[in-house]
Amino acid sequence: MPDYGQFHVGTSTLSTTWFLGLGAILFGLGAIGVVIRRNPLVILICIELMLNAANLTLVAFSRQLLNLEGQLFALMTMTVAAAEAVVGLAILVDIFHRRDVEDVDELHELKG
Amino acid sequence: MTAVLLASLPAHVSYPFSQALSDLTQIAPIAWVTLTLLLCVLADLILPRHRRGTAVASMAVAGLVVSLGFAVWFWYRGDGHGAYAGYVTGDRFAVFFEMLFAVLGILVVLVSHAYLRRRGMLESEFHVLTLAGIVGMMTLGAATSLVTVFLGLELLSVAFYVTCGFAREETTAQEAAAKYLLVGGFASAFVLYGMALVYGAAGSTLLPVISQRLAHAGVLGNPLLSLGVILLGVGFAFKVSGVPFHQWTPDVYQGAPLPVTAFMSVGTKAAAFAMIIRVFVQALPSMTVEWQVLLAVVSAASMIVGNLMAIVQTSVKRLLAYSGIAQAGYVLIGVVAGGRAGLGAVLFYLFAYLFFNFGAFAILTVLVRPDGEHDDLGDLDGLGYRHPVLGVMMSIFMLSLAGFPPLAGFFGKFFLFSAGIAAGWTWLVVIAVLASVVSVSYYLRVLLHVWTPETAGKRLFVRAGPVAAVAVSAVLAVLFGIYPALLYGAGLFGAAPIPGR
Repeated sequence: MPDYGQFHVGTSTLSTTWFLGLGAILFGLGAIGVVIRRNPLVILICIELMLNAANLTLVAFSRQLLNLEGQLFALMTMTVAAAEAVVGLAILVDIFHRRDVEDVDELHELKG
Repeated sequence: MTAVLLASLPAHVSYPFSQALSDLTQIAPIAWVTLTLLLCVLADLILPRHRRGTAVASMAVAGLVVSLGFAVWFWYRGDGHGAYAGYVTGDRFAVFFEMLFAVLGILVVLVSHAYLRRRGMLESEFHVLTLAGIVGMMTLGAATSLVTVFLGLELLSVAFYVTCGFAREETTAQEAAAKYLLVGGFASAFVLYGMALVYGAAGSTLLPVISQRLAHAGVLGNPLLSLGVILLGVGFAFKVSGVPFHQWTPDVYQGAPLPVTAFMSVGTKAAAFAMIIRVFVQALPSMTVEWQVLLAVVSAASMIVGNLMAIVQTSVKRLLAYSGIAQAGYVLIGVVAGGRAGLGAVLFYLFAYLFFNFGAFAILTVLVRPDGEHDDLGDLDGLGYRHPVLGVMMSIFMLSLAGFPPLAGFFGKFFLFSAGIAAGWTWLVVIAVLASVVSVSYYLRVLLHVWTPETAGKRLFVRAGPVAAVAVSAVLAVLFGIYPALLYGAGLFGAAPIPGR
């Protein structure tokens, strides 16, 4: 395993593993949220949570490896996530204008 | 801390103009489409309302033709190399996909111009989004860093989220857009997290560097790396609509406007395969066993489920969606087999598939009426008698999809399957052959409807643009069938920059 960096928080020290662990937990929560929640808006929020969990992982690795590419990647991802959120909200608002969808299972016209 | 990070950078970064020019040359086809996109946005602002659509469509076609010219020129020069600190490249693999997507873009604009007018939908915005999608796809072919791969993927996905729901008045289109958005975003998150883990294990986002580091370092037992590969595999399977991550495909294909479906069915798939080859074959050859098994299972499942589900469909769009799932399964055989023969077969199939699959969707646009699309099998009744030329071309596309010689689809499958057998994946090829036999039934069912003797149908909507696109597709589907060496040679050249194993 590569050498883990140490983060100094006040007087104590934290190893990168904690940040990676937090990233993994947030990603898992987001994924579970997408699968079990039915409200399309909440699903969108969960997807954003997953993207940000990946960002946290990238930045933690960047710090540990002393390599700036991870931070660059995270900056790019934030821009992308913003664009995706804008388009996503526009699509969902457009649907809510038409009808009140509280459950993605109500989107069931397409089948065959 | 900051000091340590900054010390890892060169003391001063010198980026002379000559270097900037050389970097820009490597991505000229992509940069040119981007420039066209910006000019189209500008034209949309300046021109009067009734002139916008046609003007932007012609600008888009002109820009794509120039981009195609650049790509063909670079293909023959063949001296492409990495640019922008190794984040993108202009090698033959990249140029192959730039040619593919430039051709696809031209066909899409030709078909959508008439379609959008007929349906009375916003036009210039649509072409701008098409160009954005093309830029994203080209970027995926040229990307040699995880960062650029992700940016290309998201650029094309976000453009499609919007265009899928372009028929805003229809609840089905809205539903398609929402489904694609939620599923696509979910898949992107998996891809991103997988990339983060691979970055952590390799310490770089550059694909060649990842490949090098993982070949030597003792990180192969690293569970994080294996997890990263699995997450990437799941995300990629979503994007190529492989089983069991395919459920979104038929719904989105059916709800999206026809030109978008045609664009997506070919473009997203080809771009996703470019991404799979770049990330798995180029960057992760040391993890071959892991991703090979993953892709082989997805391939087998896609061929079986896609073909069986296609049999029971009554909507042609849905039928072609399931057929596309099965076709993705065939192409995955080439990736699993690997080597120059396997990847060359993949490139051959993707380029040939562009013509016969796009053509099949494009023909459906003649059935479009102002009140909507009519894509039931019954709507095709008598098409061959009402318009024999279109009937013959639809037959070419269906027979090519089914893999009848001497059409491009036959040789595509032939190259894929023989590469699979040569690499020892006999069980996969046996499934593929059996699955293609089954597939003949539903492709011929479409033809039965096309050639039902019936001349009194609703009027057809035949316009020059779409018919030109369909005719070009049909001619090339036949040409690459009669003379497959032309394209297969290009496929082998295109696969050459990817290190073999």
